[in-house]
Amino acid sequence: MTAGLDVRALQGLRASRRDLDLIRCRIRAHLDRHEGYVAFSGGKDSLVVLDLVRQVAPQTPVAFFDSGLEFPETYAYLEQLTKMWSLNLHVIPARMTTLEVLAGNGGWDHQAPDRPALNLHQVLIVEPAAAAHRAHGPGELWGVRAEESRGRAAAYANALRAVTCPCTDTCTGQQRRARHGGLISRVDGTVAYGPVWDWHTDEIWGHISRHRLPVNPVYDKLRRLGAPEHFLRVSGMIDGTRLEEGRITWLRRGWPALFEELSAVLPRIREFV
Amino acid sequence: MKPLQVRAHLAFGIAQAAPWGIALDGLLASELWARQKASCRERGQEYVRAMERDDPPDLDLPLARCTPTDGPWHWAATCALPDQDSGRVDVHTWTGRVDARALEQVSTGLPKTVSDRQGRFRARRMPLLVTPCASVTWHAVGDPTAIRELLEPVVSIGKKRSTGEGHVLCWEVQLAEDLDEFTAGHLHPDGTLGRPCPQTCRDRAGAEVVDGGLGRAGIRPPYMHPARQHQLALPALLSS
Repeated sequence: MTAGLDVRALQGLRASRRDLDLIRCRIRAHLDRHEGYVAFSGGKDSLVVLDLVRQVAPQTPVAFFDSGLEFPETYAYLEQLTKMWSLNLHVIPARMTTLEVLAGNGGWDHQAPDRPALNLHQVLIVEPAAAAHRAHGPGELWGVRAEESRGRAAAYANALRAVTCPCTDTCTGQQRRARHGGLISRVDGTVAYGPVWDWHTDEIWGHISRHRLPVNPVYDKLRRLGAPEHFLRVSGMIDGTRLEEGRITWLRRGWPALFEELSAVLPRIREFV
Repeated sequence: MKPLQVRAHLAFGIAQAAPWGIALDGLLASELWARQKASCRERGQEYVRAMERDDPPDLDLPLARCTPTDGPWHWAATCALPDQDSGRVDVHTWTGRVDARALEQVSTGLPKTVSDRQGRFRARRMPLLVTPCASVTWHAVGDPTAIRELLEPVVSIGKKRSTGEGHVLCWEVQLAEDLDEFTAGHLHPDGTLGRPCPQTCRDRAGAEVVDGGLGRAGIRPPYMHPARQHQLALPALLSS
């Protein structure tokens, strides 16, 4: 593909329609009020958030929740990015790796007995996040976007609806979203703010291209393999989701040796190629 | 046993999941295995699937064996290499959903609904990676007559054959007198590593030969059987 026809390069040439100053102010206010950390997965969304946070508070702790089953390129990328941006990185390994959890429940092997399954979300996200909150405070900055799933969209919509707005009558619609949206307060007292919560995918790539941010090489590899946009995901090689849409097909094609290693432990992944 | 070049002329391409082509020894073994199953059924005997045996049998393929001093032996045949490399992959799609009527027949009790949105019976919409090409070529060391006889009935190769993928127009088996036995048994026509092989064979091929790195892979059919999996030098990867 030539540069002139590169849609991502073209998106980078367009000015952002987001009020980045307002977003930076909200990040600053969030950190002042709650402290906390940036949750960085190695993906494009959290990269944009990390870039925005660095502009405000470069030494904000960056937490990477290590599932133990990330793409090998992600670990190398994380190391490079930490060096390049002098990140205050904290890698928080899950108490069990994704592979241990998946292999432990017996569901991935026709010959193995079914055993009580651990909740993957609990092990990979909730527990490491709790550890990060204990270390850095109740605040969290993350790259979760409403566009990614109905559940996420509903969570943000409900949170925005619940906001008691201290502003004037003019704070409605788009303004209200920009000033108060993206903030999710949890019952345990932690508060997550998603600076890019209502951004579209092309805006994310536009920001990355405009600011020439270093992207995880897994994206390029998946794109070269022919993976469609919604499969350009770098968080974890496998976690049990989107298998029926062909997630393992791309893994098999791009990482054949790893696929064989995984299939030795999880024989049924061959059914999803 | 002589150095050979085997070519399959294809209708439009081949669907494959791995980043290298189909192994010739695997194709021949599957044809022999199908004949063996048919013969067992004819005699009224039961047979055990190769994947369910602890030590699957090695069928007597019409191929030479490469027996390196260090590492497992393998058949002297490569994986397929597309003759026309467009550098791209066509992403087709296949879909599948559970056949409720079939479930009723094979189960004594079914829940009120079998969801196609969640659980193990959820519907699938899967990508199928197709390499567009007019022909693929293998190198091998073997008996050309026996190989031709085994391949003739094979009308399609690769994944999703029942839906028309990998349709073979004709087979071509010819002697490759310009090749030595090691080259014919291990290297693609473009000089890259053509099959998974032990490090001994990889070293013998020479450092300049392009491969797909080191990794776990099957050494001979049945390739997916755990007993056949070893740490091997992998074949050169397809360009996309």
